[in-house]
Amino acid sequence: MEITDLVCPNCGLACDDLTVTSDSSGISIDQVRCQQSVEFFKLANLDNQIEPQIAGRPVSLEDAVAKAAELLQASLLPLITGLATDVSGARAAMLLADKAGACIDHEQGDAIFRNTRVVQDSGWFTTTLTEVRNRADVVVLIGDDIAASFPRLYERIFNASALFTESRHIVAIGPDNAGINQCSSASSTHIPVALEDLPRVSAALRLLFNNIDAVIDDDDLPLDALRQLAQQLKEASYSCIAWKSSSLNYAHAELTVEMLSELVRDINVKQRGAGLPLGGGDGTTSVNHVCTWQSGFPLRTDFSTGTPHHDWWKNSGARRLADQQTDLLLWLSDLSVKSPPSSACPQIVIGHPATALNHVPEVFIPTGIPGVDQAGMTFRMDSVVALPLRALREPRYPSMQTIVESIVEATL
Amino acid sequence: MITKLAGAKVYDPAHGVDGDIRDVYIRDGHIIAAPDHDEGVTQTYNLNGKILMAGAIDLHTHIGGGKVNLARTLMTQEHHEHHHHGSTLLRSGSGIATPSTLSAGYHYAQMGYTSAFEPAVLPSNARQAHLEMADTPMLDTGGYIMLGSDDLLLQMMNEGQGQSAINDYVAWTLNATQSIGVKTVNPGGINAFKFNQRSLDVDEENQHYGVTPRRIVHALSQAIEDLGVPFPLHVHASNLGVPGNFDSTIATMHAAEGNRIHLTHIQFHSYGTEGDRKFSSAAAEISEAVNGLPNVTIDVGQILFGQTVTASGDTMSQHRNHPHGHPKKWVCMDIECEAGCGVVPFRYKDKDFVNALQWSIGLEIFLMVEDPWRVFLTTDHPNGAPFTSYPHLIRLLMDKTFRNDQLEQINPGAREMSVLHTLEREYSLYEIAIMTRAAPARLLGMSDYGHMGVGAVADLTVYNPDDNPEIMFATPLYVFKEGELVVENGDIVKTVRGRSHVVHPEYDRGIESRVRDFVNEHYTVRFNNLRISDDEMAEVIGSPVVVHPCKERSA
Repeated sequence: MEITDLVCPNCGLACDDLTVTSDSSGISIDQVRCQQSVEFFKLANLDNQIEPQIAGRPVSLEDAVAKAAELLQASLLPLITGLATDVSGARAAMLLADKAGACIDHEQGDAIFRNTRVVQDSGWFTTTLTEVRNRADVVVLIGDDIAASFPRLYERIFNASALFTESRHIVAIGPDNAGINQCSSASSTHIPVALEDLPRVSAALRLLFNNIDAVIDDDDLPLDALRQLAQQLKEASYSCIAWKSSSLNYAHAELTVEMLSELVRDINVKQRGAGLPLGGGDGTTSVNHVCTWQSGFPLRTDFSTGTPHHDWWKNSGARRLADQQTDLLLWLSDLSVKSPPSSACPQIVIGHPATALNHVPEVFIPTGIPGVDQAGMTFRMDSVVALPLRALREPRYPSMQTIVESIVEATL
Repeated sequence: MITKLAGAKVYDPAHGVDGDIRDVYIRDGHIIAAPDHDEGVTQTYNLNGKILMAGAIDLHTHIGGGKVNLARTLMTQEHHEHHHHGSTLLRSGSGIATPSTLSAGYHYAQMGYTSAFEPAVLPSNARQAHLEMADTPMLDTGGYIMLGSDDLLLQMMNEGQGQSAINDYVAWTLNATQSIGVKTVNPGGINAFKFNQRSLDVDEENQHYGVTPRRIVHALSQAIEDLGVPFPLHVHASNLGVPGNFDSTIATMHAAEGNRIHLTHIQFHSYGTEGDRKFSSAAAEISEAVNGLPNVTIDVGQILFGQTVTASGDTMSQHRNHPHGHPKKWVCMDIECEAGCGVVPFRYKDKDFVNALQWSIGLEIFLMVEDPWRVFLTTDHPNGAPFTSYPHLIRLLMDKTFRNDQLEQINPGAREMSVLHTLEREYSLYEIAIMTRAAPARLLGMSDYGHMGVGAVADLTVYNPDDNPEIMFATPLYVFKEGELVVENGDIVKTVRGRSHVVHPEYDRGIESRVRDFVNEHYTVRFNNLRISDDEMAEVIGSPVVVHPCKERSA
């Protein structure tokens, strides 16, 4: 069976033009344009007879569900994380968090909250992929490893034909050139900057755009290149400032994002332009969206008192694990095979049948994979476009939603 | 299994019933004729002295979609202050102006509402809007799809494509996005803002396409007529919030050239420029225009004092107005060559001249528009106030003494400029039932809703009568959803999931190749992935569709 216009849920681009063949030998991509999508479907082909486990021993699904419910009932401070999943998985996770009184955070919560905190504290002005493709004549890419993280960014956005601009100038700011050699426009440039210098670089760029350069200490900043970029931004019809928040792996990186988003606002006083957060893979956008609409708060929300309490620091899953402020780790993740981290507390792992189990969990329950075993939905990096995931085969396992609902039922 | 609601005072304006004592019978979720000698009645509610109306319908409330989630995120502080527990029956939640979806469903049901419609759904974000509405329990829902700033329509109009092609495109969009109506927001203006135009009057051209808002309003309202779509074109007019904008609001009404047109949150579009501060009420001019144009319906978008947040597709206006916001944080987005959104928190203060006059202008319009079938009770939730303030608003409309007491407390300058104290009108329960039940159902084409005729869906609300309408409407005694008791004395006793109300007008399949070519050539989403199927609505999104008929297509 050949399926066209299929959506790949792997990275935040959510490319929806894949053609795959699904037959008895498995699922294969007909025209390979991205290694990430190949890997995604390769992993989906593995392991069709994984059984639920208790402490590493195969058990029936009923026993595994009962054991999970028992652990949950005994838990005071459960933590739900992992969460590489789609909208249906996120809905299930939220139901469980509310009913079990758990804290919920994505395992990439740090990257999410570098952006979300800016929206909470000051707001921003952003755009979406189709706008960037058709309007942006100047694009600034900030971060590292951008080309590898979003393999088809150039093909589908920057090098694609545009309705409203003849040319596109791309400026990469970061340790690597963000793949600008892939760019069809020869005028693209790379401003080499170490990641930890981005707070100062983003501030300098904003000051230069606003013609305030007297205060900048230029000893080790590429000031001429930034000055030139500021001039390009002033001359742009529609500029796009894009950053990859997972690159900004230093303390208070949200202030870098805020500086960039304030630059965007400065641009919009007289011209047009917008920001674009480069992220959204592994279900980050989907899960943060569902958590926000169902609880009123973004992730890092704790239900242990019976009402939702949100705190970006206190409810960080990674922090809770590191500080041993959780007594049960629920790793829900049906899109990724990434291993749960080691933890002092017991673990319940529900998700991808090929999940790497580096630490034997108390309970493991394999589930179907969204967009392979069951229909679903995934959000793109721009937080606007949600795309349908289709079932490509007879489901090998029950969905995350089915499993979680049965655990909740057993817990009540 | 027949349920009998016995002896209530019934307000059913669709059938001219004005407080008559009636028995109402329910079987299988629908209202049935009285069985002989009450045969088969298994349950009776004795409602002597109680008031019975159809379930209320909110035809303009921002309850789903990306801008609502952005608003929730901006309003984190409010959620810290207002959150509630779950129970074995209910989920926990938070928020007032931007409630979590589950809380919104509970709060609406607790006020006797059984349906609510999201008025600003973007084609590219329709899945999210439907997801959020599906996660809003207790209510039937539906959405109005935004057109008029999408590059494809503007390109078609620029090329001089005929009305018939536009009709096909509108019909295709309604089908693909599972919507019940079409909305246009600052027609062409959201698009113009992307080309750095900062304002767009009704007869001003979008610089890129050479198309005016007047032409867009006419083309879309004509499409609605030609396609036989029951719900009139829903228009958020040009120049939102601009002093003197009443001229362009009236020009927008005339742009429809007699086609049915609904001007939404018209309070924000009814401003004059008189007085020292060059800001005045044009409620009289607007009401006179509405009274004289039978093709026009409106909802008010009343503001009430307090903290809220404005969420709109009108990027141009929201960006212009953000300096007036409180607290000082805001979001704007350009979206997918289709539309945009802007989210700006506001705190309306009774001692502030402009806010106080806005409050008065909304009430003046309610009281000066004569026909309750053509004016709808909204606060443009949450833009003017959260929907939870409806009972207070109803009291302002029904109780002149209370209204005048409130008027005494607002900014004196605004009070002096207001004619509110001269308006004697008090709405009756019958008129409230029209504007919150019978009229919205009729306007939306939901023929089985908003009334108590035989065959109607048994969405019903029972109130304890009270001299204070705010008390009466805040906490109904019973709410029935499809014949099932879901609320009793303000408590939810059963949770139910709603459906999504849509229209599927016919279209010439030829338009699909035009849309397919444009989308596949220029978008970053494939044409085949834009369409939301009935199955996806039911199985993935979780809100099965109810398809309402359109009249036969005429062009």
